[in-house]
Order: sequence, then structure tokens, then C-alpha cells
Amino acid sequence: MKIKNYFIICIGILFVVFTTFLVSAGCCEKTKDGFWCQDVTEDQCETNFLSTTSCAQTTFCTSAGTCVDSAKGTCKENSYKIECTSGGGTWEKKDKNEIAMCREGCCIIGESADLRTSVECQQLASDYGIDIDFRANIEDLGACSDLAYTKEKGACVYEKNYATTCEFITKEDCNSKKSVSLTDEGGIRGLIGGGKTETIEEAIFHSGLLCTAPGLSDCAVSSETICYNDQVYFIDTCGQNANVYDSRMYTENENQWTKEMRDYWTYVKEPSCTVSGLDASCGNCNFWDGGNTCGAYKKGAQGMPTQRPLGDYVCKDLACYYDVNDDGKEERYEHGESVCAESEGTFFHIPQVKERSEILREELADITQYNLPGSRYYKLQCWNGVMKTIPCREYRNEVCEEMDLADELDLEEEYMQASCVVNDWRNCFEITNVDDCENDKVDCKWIPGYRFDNQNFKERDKEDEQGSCVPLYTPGFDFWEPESDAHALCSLNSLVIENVIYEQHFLGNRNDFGGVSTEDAAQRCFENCYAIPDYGVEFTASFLEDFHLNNGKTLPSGGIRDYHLSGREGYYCLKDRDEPDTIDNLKVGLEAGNEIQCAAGDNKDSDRRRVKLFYTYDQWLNSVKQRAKSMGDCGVKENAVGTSGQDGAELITVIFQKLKQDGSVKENGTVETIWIGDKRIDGYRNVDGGLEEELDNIEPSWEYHKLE
Amino acid sequence: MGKRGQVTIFIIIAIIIIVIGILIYAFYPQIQSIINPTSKNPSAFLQSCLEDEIEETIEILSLQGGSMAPEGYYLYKGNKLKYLCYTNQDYQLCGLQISFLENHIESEIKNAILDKVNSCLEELKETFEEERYSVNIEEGDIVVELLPERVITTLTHKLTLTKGDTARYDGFKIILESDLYRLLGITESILEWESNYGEAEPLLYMGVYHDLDIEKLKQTDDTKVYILTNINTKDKFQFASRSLPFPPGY
Repeated sequence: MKIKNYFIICIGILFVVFTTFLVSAGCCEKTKDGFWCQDVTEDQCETNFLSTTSCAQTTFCTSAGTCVDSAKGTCKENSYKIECTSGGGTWEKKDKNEIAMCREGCCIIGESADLRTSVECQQLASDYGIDIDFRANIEDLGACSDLAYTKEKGACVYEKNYATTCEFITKEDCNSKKSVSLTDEGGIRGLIGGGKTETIEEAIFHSGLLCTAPGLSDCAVSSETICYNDQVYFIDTCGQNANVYDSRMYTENENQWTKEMRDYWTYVKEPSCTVSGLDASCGNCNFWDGGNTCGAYKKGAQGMPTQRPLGDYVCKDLACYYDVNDDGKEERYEHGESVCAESEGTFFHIPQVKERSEILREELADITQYNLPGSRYYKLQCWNGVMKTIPCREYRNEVCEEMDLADELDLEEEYMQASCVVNDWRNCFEITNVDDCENDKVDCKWIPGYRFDNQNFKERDKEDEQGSCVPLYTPGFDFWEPESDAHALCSLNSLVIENVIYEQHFLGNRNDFGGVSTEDAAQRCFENCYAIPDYGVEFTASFLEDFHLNNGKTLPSGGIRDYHLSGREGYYCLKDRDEPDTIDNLKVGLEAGNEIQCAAGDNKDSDRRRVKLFYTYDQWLNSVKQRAKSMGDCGVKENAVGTSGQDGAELITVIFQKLKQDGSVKENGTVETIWIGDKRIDGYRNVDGGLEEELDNIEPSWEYHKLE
Repeated sequence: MGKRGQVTIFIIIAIIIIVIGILIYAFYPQIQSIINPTSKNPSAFLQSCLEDEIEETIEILSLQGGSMAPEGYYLYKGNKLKYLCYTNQDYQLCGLQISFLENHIESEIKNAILDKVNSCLEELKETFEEERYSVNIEEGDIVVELLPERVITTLTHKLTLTKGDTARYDGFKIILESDLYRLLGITESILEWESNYGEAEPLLYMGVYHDLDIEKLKQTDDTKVYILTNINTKDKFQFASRSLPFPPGY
């Protein structure tokens, strides 16, 4: 049977056409903006432009080596050679670890410890006039820092300007005081003016004793305290540190002093108390395990005990009180604990991927509720009593995920840890089957229907591959920027064009098609009929799947003519069996009951019922919209602050054309927009093209709200 | 008591006051310098003349990523934050824009105070000449050193003051308390992470240095603004980095 009339409807979700242009870039030694070694275009370059060569390939902008400052003994990786040498450094084409001078170790200066090269350490020791203490075998910052504050301390007693003085310092520092004359000219104590000299003689170090030890000096016990190394320490009347503050070790009443208390003010001792909750009596603060640290006492302030301590300092609680869920009540979070913020337009408190149920995954996929334009994920970090807001990457390139560590840490109450995790949405487009798309390794979701490579499988066993893998967390685009790629990005994968083929009645004329009702057009359709508005509106997709693929399924009442339905959709014949299953090789067979008779009636017609992409118009519409809107800030959406998007950003347009028998265009007809955003436009197949003017008046526009 | 007795008492009191004054003057040079910082103490004079300038310079440098007039910067709350590590390419790690930050800042401080040093030395000369000193200043250099807990500015100029006796000064040190040295050390470590992995975790540092607050603020274009603050002294250093940026879109 010949197809007398063709009408092709090209239906697409059209966003904005974009243009790209290619500009030749190259390596620039220094850009006009003042950056070293960037790949830019020539007009952005200040000095030395090497076209079509990336900086990594040049000799002057390579960063594959180490920049060495031999005078100070410092070494830097990832420096650009030209920047290194212009700054006075020496460039070596070796890894930092291969250069002996660059090896870092633990440098201990006084009570501080830090990773330095031996030359740096030597220089520092020289500046302070002390012997170098360099531990080459310690290369870890944490291990090195543990060595701070570990040197033995004691009472250093000496005569200064004819008066006995005591300092509670390290033996090393005490020794450095011996027979030293301090003037304003030479040493670090140059602040002292006048060219006069201070003389210190006979500094004696009393290991393990405090300055308040009997007979050493005039320094006496006091109730005053000070913060030192995170803990609260008693200080004596000379201002020297004593032991850790313990209220039981001091009294104003001389008669109540015990031997234990006197010993506590004589010898260097380990703390004798432990902090319990909000405790004003003990200065043995514990930053990590106890979540408290030394701080000035402020009555009534957060983290402060109600009782006043003896001195001015106390172990303050570092927990945070913060109303994360905006219910008007502040919840308590431990020092170090973190949670995801409940920021507008995001999914609150996403558990780590392995802890997600199928139901949760479905919830996460809701593009109307979550990951809306303008939304951004934030992490809330409790640290030092302050809940800090830490933004994850903009454009939802990162999302906040959290997990409860209570079990791992053996805690009774939940202890949350949140982190900004890279939203690897770009990878989703590489995945081509549902199993790889929706599992606990990736953050993607599967939209059954079209594939990105536009292949349409007809076989049932390939249903798992018939669809698109898209981001679970819809990314954001900078669509408000004039030079944004957003429009291109939305168009790139979200534009779909579907050719719907109608057959005009044998005695009819193609020119009469304008008068055919939509219902009638649906019945005359034999290819991609689901793109006709209201197609299959009376049925569920599963009913129609059975109807078209399984013989014998009957309609509830009447025949095809009573519904927006084609009896031909799903059947096909090929002009040439050996050619691919494309539109050019398509022909329609005779209808005979539930069968189509192709050509010579080879009794294989029923085998040629094929799996269709969609079975109803709603199914098609939902799939293309879901896929398009999951790509990013595409189409019409409500934004994070509840403002609706503008309809012009999402269109479905229909083009009517008359085709020749060979499929080429004989005559262009009308262009009609049948959907603007979520608004259905009446007048489908309006032969007068009455909607064209209306379409021209639609300007894509939007509102952008910066969320702070 | 007769008039003569009263006069004697007054003379004795006056002598005692003078002796006490001389003793204080002799043994407490700081007090001497406070009472009259210029008359016999050029060190105090220069300290007083220069320290505000050095402090202001350090403050500006700290707010601008270590450069007085940064090129290649990110504008953050009105401050031009120098990018210390930068790439303009998506998905690429950054390269250091200043290899030796400490040297750079020392040099920036030196250049920023150069004019002030000259004017202070000139002022010093005039002040002492007004007090009838013969003043000779030999040209010298300015050496700025960032050290733990302090910044030392050394003027190697040689000063000779003659007024009967001759006093010779072989140089002057202006010392300011500052945590800049440690903040720069941590900055360099952060930059190492940025240039090797694209990101640094502030908690790693705050867990070691409990008196430190480090903020990492991710900006729209994937620039990261790092703000390092000593909680106790409020010393601050802030800078920008752009490494491993993800574009909006592909």
C-alpha cells in the first residue's frame, strides 16, 4: 500500500540556539591580568606568547621540577620555571624528594615544633641563639607537633640587675641565660632602648621544681590562672606558670593547706583532676576527647560553667548550639561534629551513597523539589564553639552528604560527619544501562525512553539499555551570564525531535488534513504516535503495551475509532529485509485483524511488532521533560527561593510539512507551539498558523537570586 | 624651725629626688626612652617613627595575599586577594604564582617602608642636631626578617653621635610581634595541597594549631578564599587560590 499523504511533525523541546567559535590559544609567560604561565589567547598575553603550545609543553613554563632557595633552604614544587628564576630561585628538574637539601624534618625551636628543612631550622636556631634541634626522621606534621611543649621545664633562678629572679622555662632556655649580656644593639631584645646593658649571672636550673618551691625565690602561690597549651594553669605571684589549675589545690585559709597542696606548688606534677561537663574546678582541658579548651570565663556565656572558677580562666565547652532544622530550637553539636545545612532548594541531609534505600533514591530524583536553580549545598561545622557555614562548590558541583559515626566511635548519641562530595554528574552521560546508572557507586538516575546516541532498540531484552542516564543531583548553570554555555548545554542533550507519520485516507487529500480531528489523526498515525497530544489518554501505558505487543488484547468498548489510538502503532514492515530498520526502509502493511500483512504475506507479520519507546503521550511528555530538566538548570522550574521560571525557556513546537513519497519535503506548512512551559496551547494543527505571532513574543527570561 | 632649717630640708629633698631620678634614669632605660625617646636613644626614636608604618604595611599585605599592589587577584569584600596558586583551565591543578612567599613579603615590606625609613633617618638627624649633636649616618640596607612570633626590621645604617663623647650605633632593629611567619608556613602547606590535589582541608591544620581559625570559602567561579586567623592575637592572612575548577556545565 502506498502512503498517499505524509505529514511530518517535528516536535522538540527547544531552548536556545547557540553558536560557538574557536579561538587559538597558547602559552603565555605572563598575562595582562598578572598571572604566570597560563594558556590564553594572544590578546590576553603580556609577555612571551607561544601559540598553539600549552604551557606544560614549554621549557619556560614547565612546572615539572623543584624551585630551590639555597640561601634559606626552602624548596617548592609546582612552581613555574620562569617565575622561580625571576624570583631568585634555582630551578631543578627533579622531584623535591630527590634533592637532599629539600628533605624536611621536625624542627624544634623552644616550645614550638614544625616541619622544616635542616637549613631553615639551622637559620631559625641561629636567630634565637639556641642549639639546633632537628629530627630528620620525623616527616609527619602531626608527629612533629606532638613534640611541642614536651621539653622538660623547671625553675630557672638567676640574678638580674642584682635581684633574684625565677622563670619556669626549659633547661635549654635557662642555659642560654647564663652569662648573657642583653643590649639594644645585638640580640632579639633590641626593643630595650638606651644602649644600656642587662647582666644575668649564675642561672641555675632546678629540674622538676616550680618557682614557688620553698627557698628558690620570692614567687608565691596565687589563685590566678592563665591559658597555656589549651589548659588552665595556676600562675604564681611572679607570673610564672605552676601546675594545671585544680581548685582543690588552693585556699585562702592558710590553716587548710595540706601537704598534698604544698607539694602541688613545689613540684612539677601531672594534672590531678579531670574535667566533667561544665566544670569550674579543673583546668585539665581536653581539646579532642573532652571537647573543651581553656578560655576566659564569662558568666552566663555559652559553654561556661555556672560556678565561677578561682582565676579568670576555665575549661570552656566547645560544643555548638544551632538550629539546623529551623524549628526554633537549638540542637547541641559536639566540637568536631558536622552536619549538612538545610539550604533552600536542596535535599536535606543526604546519607552517604551506600546507605540509601530505593525509596530515598526515588525521592532524591524529584526535580521539582530538589536541586532547584540557585540552590547550593552547605556544610555546617562545629568548631571551637562556633558553627561555621562552609559552602560546597557552586552550581551543585558538590553536594553535602553525611553519616552517623556513633557506632564506630562507640557513642550513645549520634555524631554526624558531613562532607562536600563532588557531584560527578558528567560521568552519568557515559553510562548506557540502568544497572550501571542506578547503583551505590554513582549519583545518577535512569530515565526510560530516548538514548543520547538516538538509537532505538526494538527488542525486549534491550529494555535496560533503552533510556538515558542523567544526574541524580541536577547541576546548575550560569544561565544569567551573557556568555554562558547554559543554553547550549540545555540544547545539546535535551533537544528531542520526533517525526510522527500520518497516513491520509486513500480517497482523502493532503490539503484536507487541517480539518482532521486530533482523535482521527491519532488513528491515522503509524509511527511515533505517542508524540501526538492526548494520544492514549484513555489508557495506562501498560495496557497499551499489552494491546500493541500481545495478540488478543481487546479494547474496553468499541473499536479504535472511539479512542485517541492507532491500531497500526507497533507494527511495521521493511521494504528490504536486508537493510537497517530506519524510516527510509519503512513501509506499512495491510491490516488484517491483529496482523499486518507485509508484501507477499510471508506470515511473519506478528514477529514484527516491536517494543516502542513510549505508549502514551503523557509517558513521552514526562520522559522528555524529566530528561531535559535533569541535565541542569534547563526548562521551566521554580527556583530555590520559590520564584517560578519563565515559560519561554521550555517549548514544544510542531512543524507540519507535506512530504513526497520518498520522504523529502514537498511543502512547508505551519509552525505551532503547543506547550509553553507547563501551559498547553490549544489549536494544535491550526492551519492558519495563528500561534506564530504569539511564539515570537515570548522572550526567555529569568530571575536570579544569589543565596548567601 | 627657722628659715635656714626649712631650706636645708628642701635641699635634702631635692637632692634625694635628683638621686632617685638619676638612678631610675640609669637603671631603667625603657623609662628613659619613654620620658625622652629622642634625646639619647636613636633606637627608640626609630622604633617609634617606623613601627606604625611597618604594622600598617603588614596589615595590608596580610589582607591582600602578601602583595601591596597585587596582580592577578580575586576581589573579596573590597580586598584584592592575590591568587597564590592559579589556573584558568577547567579540571587543571594550579601552579604557584609566588614560589617563595616569605621572601616576597619581606621584599614587599622593605619596599613599602623605604621612603619612611629615609624620612625617619632624616628626622632623627635633625632632632639630634637640634640638640647640638654632630650626627653622621652611613648609608645602609633594610633587612626584613619574618620569624616566629615577630617581624624584625633591621636597618644596617651606621650612626655616629658626637657631643663631647662619641656614641656609635652599628644598626637598629625594629621588632614587632606578629604571627605572620606561622600563618605563612601554613599558607605554603595549603598551597602545596592546592597545587597537588586541588584542595586543602582546614581542619587538618586547626586540629594541630588549636589557636588557629582557617576558613575556606568557595566562590562562584571555584576560586577558594582562605582566611587564616590567630584566634588570640587576631593576626590574619588571607589569599585566593583557583585549582581544579569545575565549570558550570561540562
